Amino acid sequence: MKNFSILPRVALAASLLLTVAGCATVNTITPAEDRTTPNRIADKRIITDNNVSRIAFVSEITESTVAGNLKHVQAKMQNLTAAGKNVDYRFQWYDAAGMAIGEPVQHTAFLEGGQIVPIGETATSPNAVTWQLDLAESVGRTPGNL
Amino acid sequence: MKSSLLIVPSLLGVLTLAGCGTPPTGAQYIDPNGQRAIVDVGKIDFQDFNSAASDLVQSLLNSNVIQQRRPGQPALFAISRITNDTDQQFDTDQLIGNMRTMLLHSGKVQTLSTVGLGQVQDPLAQQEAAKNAFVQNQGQPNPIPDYTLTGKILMQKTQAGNVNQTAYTFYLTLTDVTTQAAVWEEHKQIVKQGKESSIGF
Repeated sequence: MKNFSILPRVALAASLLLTVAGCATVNTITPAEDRTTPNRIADKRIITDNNVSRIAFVSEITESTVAGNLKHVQAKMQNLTAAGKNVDYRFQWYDAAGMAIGEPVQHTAFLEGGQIVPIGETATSPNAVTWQLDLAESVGRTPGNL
Repeated sequence: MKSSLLIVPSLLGVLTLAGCGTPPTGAQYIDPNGQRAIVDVGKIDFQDFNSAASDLVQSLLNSNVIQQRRPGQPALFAISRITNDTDQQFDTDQLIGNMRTMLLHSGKVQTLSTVGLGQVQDPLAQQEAAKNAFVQNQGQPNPIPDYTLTGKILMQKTQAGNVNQTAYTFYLTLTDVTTQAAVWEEHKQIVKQGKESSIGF
């Protein structure tokens, strides 16, 4: 009876060891002094999947203008877990009337555990004034797992 | 008693999760810019072309090298040789067509559709321009682009055990026709990894 009560603890310890052994995370080093003057943007979020918030936590969003009149947005994503994950993201642009401009293009970024990755996009229309960023964990539909 | 109370919610949870991931049983439309498109390790999918075109256009626009030679007029591009150096047969317009559209919408670039290597994009426009020039007793119309775009698509395959990896690299160069110098060069890599699929190789 005593042996049976030890088994769950041993199994838990073993699984934790295997999890830690299989995951390589990223240490990030930057200059102590911030040499940038970014235009940081406050954002509002609709969270429907807390898991995505953990694997692709958006810590900072900045905007700039490129090529004279095209809006550029950049978001820094951090994988707060220890496992590498693929994240699908896309930007939809809107004009001053709130109308969608063009169709968003989906991209996939791979984030190692703990890694901070910048994602961004430049609007391909000078009429774009605002944007919407969609984030989701990649589902990886391959011919073998349909 | 306690274990039976846990089993029912657990079963419900499993069934719910399984329902979220259930593959379609019949034909259906999907969002071409969404997550449901198939990813094939062994070939360039349409979403790879879309992503590569988008990233390359971003890089070109962000570089600020495109100059408007005529006030108020977009720069003129002509598409030069785009080489497919992969084992896959595809129309390079899947990349370049996307890029042309995005560049046109930016207002910074117009692409000459009557100038190109070999086959032009719009032979009827070329024919009508020549006819118009003849009627007006002008010389052969010969629009000169400000820039030309050339490139190459490469592929490299690797295998380790039952895991296949394919790396696709899209190289593009923008040449200033006046100086004949490359003013912008960029490459975009898409690397896919997966186990041997049940279809194909």
